[in-house]
Amino acid sequence: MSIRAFIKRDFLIEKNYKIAFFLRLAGMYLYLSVFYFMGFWLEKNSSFFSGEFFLRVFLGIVFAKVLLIPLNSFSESLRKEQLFGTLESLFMASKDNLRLLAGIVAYPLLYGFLETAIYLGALVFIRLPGGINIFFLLTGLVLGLISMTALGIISASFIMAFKRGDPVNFLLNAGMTLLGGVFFPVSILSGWLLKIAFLNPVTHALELIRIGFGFPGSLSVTPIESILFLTVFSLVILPAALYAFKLAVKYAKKTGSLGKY
Amino acid sequence: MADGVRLLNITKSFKKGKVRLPVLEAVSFSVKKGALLLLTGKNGSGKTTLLKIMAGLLLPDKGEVFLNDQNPEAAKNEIGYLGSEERALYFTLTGRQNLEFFAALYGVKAGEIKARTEKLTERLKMEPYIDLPVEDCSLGMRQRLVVAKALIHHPDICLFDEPLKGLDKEARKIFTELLRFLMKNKKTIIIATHNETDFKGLKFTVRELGR
Repeated sequence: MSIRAFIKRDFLIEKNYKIAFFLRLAGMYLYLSVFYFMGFWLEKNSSFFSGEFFLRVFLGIVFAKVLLIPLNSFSESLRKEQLFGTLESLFMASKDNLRLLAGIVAYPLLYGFLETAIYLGALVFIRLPGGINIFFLLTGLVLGLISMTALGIISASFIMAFKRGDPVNFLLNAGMTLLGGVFFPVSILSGWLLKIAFLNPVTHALELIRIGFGFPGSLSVTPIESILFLTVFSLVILPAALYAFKLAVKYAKKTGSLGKY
Repeated sequence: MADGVRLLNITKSFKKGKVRLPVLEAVSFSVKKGALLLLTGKNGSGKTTLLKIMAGLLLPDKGEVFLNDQNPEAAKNEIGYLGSEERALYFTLTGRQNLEFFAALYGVKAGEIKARTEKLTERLKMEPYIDLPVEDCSLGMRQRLVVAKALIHHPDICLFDEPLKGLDKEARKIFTELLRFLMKNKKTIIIATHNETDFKGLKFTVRELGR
């Protein structure tokens, strides 16, 4: 019930800014077209690229965008409520922290899925390298989202306690994209960069999603090992993140900063 | 077991740099169900702080709060809190959309939300602007909306911080009538105010803070 209320509220607010939706969509297609022409050029001039550069990057960008939604949305939405002056009211009205967190991220996530579905529409015109494997595709997406939710809640905890200057979000956004196999396979990395890439949930989630779209695996671990990694990551980090958020709320209530911005 | 509000030795201070500023020192009182208490005191005497502690939005350094014999967290759904923050509404949404959103969060059944919104709109005489975006409403209209928002879930305990702020003569009269109605319905009401005379005609007790 409360999640539905949040979705309705955010939709009603977004409805006031129709042009922004279409501009965002157009911007993403323009961004993707850069990689299309890049791929066209690379594949024409090099035997190294086997005709799948664009598709690999396309899936990387589109799904990384979805995976990063929970990472960014928790903190962004909380920050918005702080600035609107509505955070105290939300705390009063929400039954618990979990429902509040689920509510503030529900619409951005739904919107992200809708955008992804629109982008994936382009796949009608592109030949996939192999058959679709729904199991790996969905497992990668769901476990990836849960892992990123955990990190997003940690990021939101910083916002709750310190309002601005969230170091988690800043570092993660850069690191997740750069070392997550979005633009290039992480196997080309070496040393500590490769180790970090292997600890990055985006790396494993994108690997599973790409396998789900018929690509061969690009990591030195099997898809089952990637699933295991994401499962353990979620099981460890998610409870820790919820505890961190609880502590952050307690800190804000102690210092009297809950309603401040 | 006692319904109403009970405070035991509430102490609160805030740290400002290296200095600790005491705001409330061992405040204790109780308010019976259906009674109205006015919290008065100079600026900075801790009225808002105390209301926030009662609402569970602020943790005391020491002391305990009992709302209908429960702690504020457990009694959350029984509290109607009107803070001093006049921006506590979504400005691009209409008054009605704001009320419906908060009603849903409080767990008011979908079938009841519309009726409750209508009832409060009528009681607070908000008909002319309930369907306007909040950003197009005057300060007084917004204040009526936040009063409605605090009451949409039919709380047992009403904690109002300066509820008459920005209200004109007519709106003050409407608000006094509303208080009369709430007291008749056995709601416990605590109001932080600077002016006791605003509530003449109502039966109330006064607790002055910061003495």
